[in-house]
Amino acid sequence: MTALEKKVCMMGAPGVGKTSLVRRYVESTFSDKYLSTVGVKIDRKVVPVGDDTINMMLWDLQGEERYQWVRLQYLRGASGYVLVADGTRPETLEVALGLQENAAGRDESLPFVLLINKSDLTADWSMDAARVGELRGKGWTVLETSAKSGNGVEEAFRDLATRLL
Amino acid sequence: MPLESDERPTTENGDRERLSRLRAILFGAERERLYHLEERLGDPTALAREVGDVLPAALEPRSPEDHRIANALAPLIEDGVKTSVRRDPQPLADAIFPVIGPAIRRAIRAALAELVQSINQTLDHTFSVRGLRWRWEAIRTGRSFGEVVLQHSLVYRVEQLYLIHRETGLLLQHVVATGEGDAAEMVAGMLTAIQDFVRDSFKVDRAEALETMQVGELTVWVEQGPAAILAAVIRGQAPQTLRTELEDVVERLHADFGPELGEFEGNIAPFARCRPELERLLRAEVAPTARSSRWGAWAVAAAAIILLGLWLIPREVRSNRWEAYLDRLRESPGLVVTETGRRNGRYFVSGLRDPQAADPSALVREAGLDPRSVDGRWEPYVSLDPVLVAGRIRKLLDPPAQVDLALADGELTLSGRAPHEWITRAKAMAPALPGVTRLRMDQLVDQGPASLVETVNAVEQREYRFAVGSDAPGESLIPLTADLRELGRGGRPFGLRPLVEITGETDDLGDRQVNARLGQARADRIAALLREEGIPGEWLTSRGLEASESLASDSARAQHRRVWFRVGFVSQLPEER
Repeated sequence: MTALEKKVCMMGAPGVGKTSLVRRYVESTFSDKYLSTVGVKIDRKVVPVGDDTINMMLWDLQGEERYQWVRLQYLRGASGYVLVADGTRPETLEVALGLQENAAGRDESLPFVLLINKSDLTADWSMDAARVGELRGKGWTVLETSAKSGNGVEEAFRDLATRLL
Repeated sequence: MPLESDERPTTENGDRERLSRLRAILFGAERERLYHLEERLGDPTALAREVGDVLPAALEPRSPEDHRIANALAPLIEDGVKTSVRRDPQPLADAIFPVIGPAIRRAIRAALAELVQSINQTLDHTFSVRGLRWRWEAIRTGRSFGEVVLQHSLVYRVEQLYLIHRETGLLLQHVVATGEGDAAEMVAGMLTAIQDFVRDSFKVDRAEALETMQVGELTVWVEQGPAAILAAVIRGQAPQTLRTELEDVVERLHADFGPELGEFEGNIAPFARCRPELERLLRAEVAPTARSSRWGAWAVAAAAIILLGLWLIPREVRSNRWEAYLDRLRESPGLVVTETGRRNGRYFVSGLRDPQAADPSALVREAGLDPRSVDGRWEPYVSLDPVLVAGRIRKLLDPPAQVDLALADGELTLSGRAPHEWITRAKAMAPALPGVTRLRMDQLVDQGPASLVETVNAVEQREYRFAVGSDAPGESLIPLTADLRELGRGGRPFGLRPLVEITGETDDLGDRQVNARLGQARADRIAALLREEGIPGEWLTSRGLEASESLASDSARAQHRRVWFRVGFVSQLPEER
């Protein structure tokens, strides 16, 4: 059994629920205030994968769009990343795709998952299923999650952890 | 070349030729190659080109294996560099400039930090007892004072060390002095993030880094290596030498864990090996217990205070006494202080003094000062202070005991009774006295000339007794009449006539109003009788006086049923003469 430390970044447009998505599932030391001051907040998520343990250090990057280019610096050294979009706001998916493009520009081989959050708000759900299908077709892992119900969150981390090995 | 020929040669010639032909057939190609090789080896230009082609390839695989090439090349390179510098130092200077600038800056920064710290501590300790002890130690051991101070005074503790993978910000190893460091992995990540944050925010070079973070008592020293960062959390003031040690450790870790750091994939297990090295840095420097030195400092301070006190207190006492003396002088009527001070260790005071004023040298003794330590110089003057004016008047007029003297706003009021001659003299002198502008004597009774004193006394001692309820005197008035005539005669040369006040009294029995009338009646009766005997009526006044107190006995009552006399003199009007 081995324990591995991995740096994982979380990125997404503001208000997609990135922070609340992880809040209940991670070990947290720093307050959300860090996000707005330093632009990053670091939490830990321990995910067992088979006999191994992946110690994910989650770098929650501030959502503000106009700073994303600066925050991308934080991607350095990451083993993977989590993209988050809001299922009720299609434009956030575009932001996530833009971020992915940037990240892939740095290192195309980095594993990532795309989370489409707020799956509990089915009434307002306005994600284009065809578009999502297209992404899945490209080999992307796209998961629908709900910070409220916890639906899909653990699976998302587990999926990513498996690919970090 | 053809093998057969139409012409047949001689046998010997033919053999040689055949052999040569055979050789050409068998070795022609080799000979040609040899010829070319000879040509290549013989031509230095071509040879240089050949070697140049293979040299990098020849050097490359060798370098990691041993240092022979490096050793062989070193003198050449050294010579080359020397030659280049001798010829023109500029190209080399240009080449190393980008490297040497940051290196020098860093060295200077470190040296300055050390210097400043040393100076601060030196200043802190220069003036304490401990400081003096350390100074002695420095002299004794031949080291610099700064060194000794550094050695003794630093109080710090390295509480935590984070060895962080630079690229990922992942924690490789963490050691704590006491207890458990909470969430060390996340702290490590944040430390890295903050490094990035500072670098990005202030657009500094990637090679530069945040070296120190300070929050109150805590300092975080960050030592950057190419692949790993060592962050030390220090409480208190660590010496700059610790920084050097951190640098050394970072360098050693890079040497020991080169491959592990370079190919780090998240496995931190190998880095457990460096724990002892990190733990060695978890140091606490405890200052020598300041107790004794603090007591020493207190003792020295107390001694200083006592010595100062021994010197100051008598001075202070003397000074207080001197001030009190001066106050006394200033308060004393008739003394005007114009100058005071200390001269040649002695006090001096000068001013004006009315002869009536208090004696300054007597006041010196009263103030508790040694009269020999005080020089006084007093100019005489006349003071108009009311107290002194009154004193002067009393001295000059020498009033009899029955005279009261009062001075208010320059008005001298004389009251009581006085002999005529004294009154005359007082009347003449008073206006000439300094401080007296008016003289009032309406309350002053003229007792007449000295020659009549006995007669006046005889009159005033005389009493006439009365029976209860009667206004008829029990005795003859003839002797009284004779005395009064004598007073009239005696006063005339002085322009005086007697004015005799006749007082009639009663006992305490009976009605008060009746008694009052009876007293007056008794006085009037005596006055009437005297007039009958020829005494001028204007010489006489009469009044009744009732007994105010209750009398204890009949004899006392009898004594109060009486008439008595008081004699004064007034100016005789011209027609009365």
